[in-house]
Amino acid sequence: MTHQARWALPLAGGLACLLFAAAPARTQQSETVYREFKTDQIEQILQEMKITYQKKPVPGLPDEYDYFFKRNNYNIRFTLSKGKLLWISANFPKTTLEKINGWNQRAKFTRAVLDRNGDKEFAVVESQLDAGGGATIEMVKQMIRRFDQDVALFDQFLRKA
Amino acid sequence: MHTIRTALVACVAALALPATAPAQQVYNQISPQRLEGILSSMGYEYKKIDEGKGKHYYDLKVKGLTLRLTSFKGQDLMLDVLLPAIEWKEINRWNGKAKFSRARLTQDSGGKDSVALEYNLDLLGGVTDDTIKQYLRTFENEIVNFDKFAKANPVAVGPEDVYRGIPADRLEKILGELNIKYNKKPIGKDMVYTFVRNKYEIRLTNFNGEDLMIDAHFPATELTKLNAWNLKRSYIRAVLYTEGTPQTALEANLDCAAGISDSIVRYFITTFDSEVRDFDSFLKK
Repeated sequence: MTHQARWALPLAGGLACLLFAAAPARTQQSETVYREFKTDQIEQILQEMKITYQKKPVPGLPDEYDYFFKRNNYNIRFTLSKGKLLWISANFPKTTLEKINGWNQRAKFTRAVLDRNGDKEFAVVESQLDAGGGATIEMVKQMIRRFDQDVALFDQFLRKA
Repeated sequence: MHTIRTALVACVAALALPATAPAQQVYNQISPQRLEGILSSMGYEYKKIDEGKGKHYYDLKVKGLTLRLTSFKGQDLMLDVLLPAIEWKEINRWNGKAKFSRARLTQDSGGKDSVALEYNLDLLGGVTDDTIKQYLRTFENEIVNFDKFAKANPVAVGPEDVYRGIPADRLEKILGELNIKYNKKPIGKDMVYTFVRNKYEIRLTNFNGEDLMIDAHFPATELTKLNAWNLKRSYIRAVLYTEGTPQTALEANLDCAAGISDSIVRYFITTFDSEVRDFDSFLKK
């Protein structure tokens, strides 16, 4: 993302204020930092966020789980891979690589990719968190909350000519 | 003439001899008085505890830590210090690579998991005062080295100081701990740090203390190649910028708003090293 091309800020900023309003700035507290997450931890986070999900193991991949749920009418997939990769994504119809790159120029906490499943190509907007470097429960919740904003913005972005 | 010649021969002989330290007394047991003299001469403040039966403890205050020096009847010494716990696998790795000290998991007096770093010295083979002094200095170095090692290998689950946001002074402290020499430039409320890591030019941007972005730039590449990279790698984003001179950026962002610890920031910065290196190799294929 270029320093100048932060076009999404006016919209995101308003939403961000709602998210950050309760959080005191620059305060320090002792919190548990995890370097691996278990499925029960992820499920508790989703439950605390009042997210009704469907859990499925990823076929052929041990220790990988998908959580499917709907947020604001978008179909969201949250993947826990080997306890360390936390991955949230949403699929959209196929678009051009120029459009994909256009999103990536502006995005901050997500990226877009053009993926394929057999013959079918589709666009994906996604965000990933490396728990191996350490993550708190609140960071995981923040990741999900931020993605709410980004998936809606991505949808709008794709609809523009 | 004879006297002058003798003096000259003596001078040449003295110059030809290897340089030697002044002779020191070699001993195989050290009295409490002698040990305390060494500690005082090195500027250590200590609290002495007599355990009886020839066993003495000396608690030394060094840089905010309490080092314990134990004298077992003056025949062998042990230095130890309690440090924050790390994973036992990392302790094993330390023990495999450290030359002088050893680490083990223990609990402090409050029952909190800790690492005991220890270093022993056997006097029975003969030591000098300099041996004891070097023993103390080496242990202080081992503590510094272990601290660096522990910071690079933090515990899997544990409490850490977590801050909402990342102010400049905190980020700069972390960069200093990583031995990163940077140039910094403010852009509005943001601060941009540029530095070289492994011959790559890296830019780290602190967006008003709320989030970080790290990036490196490469020659422009076709979008199919960038998409292929983004499909196969996690946590980063490869982007083509076409404003001005077209170039490819490899980027990663860290959201600090929900709370961030120093170890998370360190990891974010250091793991980018391998991403940049691998991306560079990928682009050259």
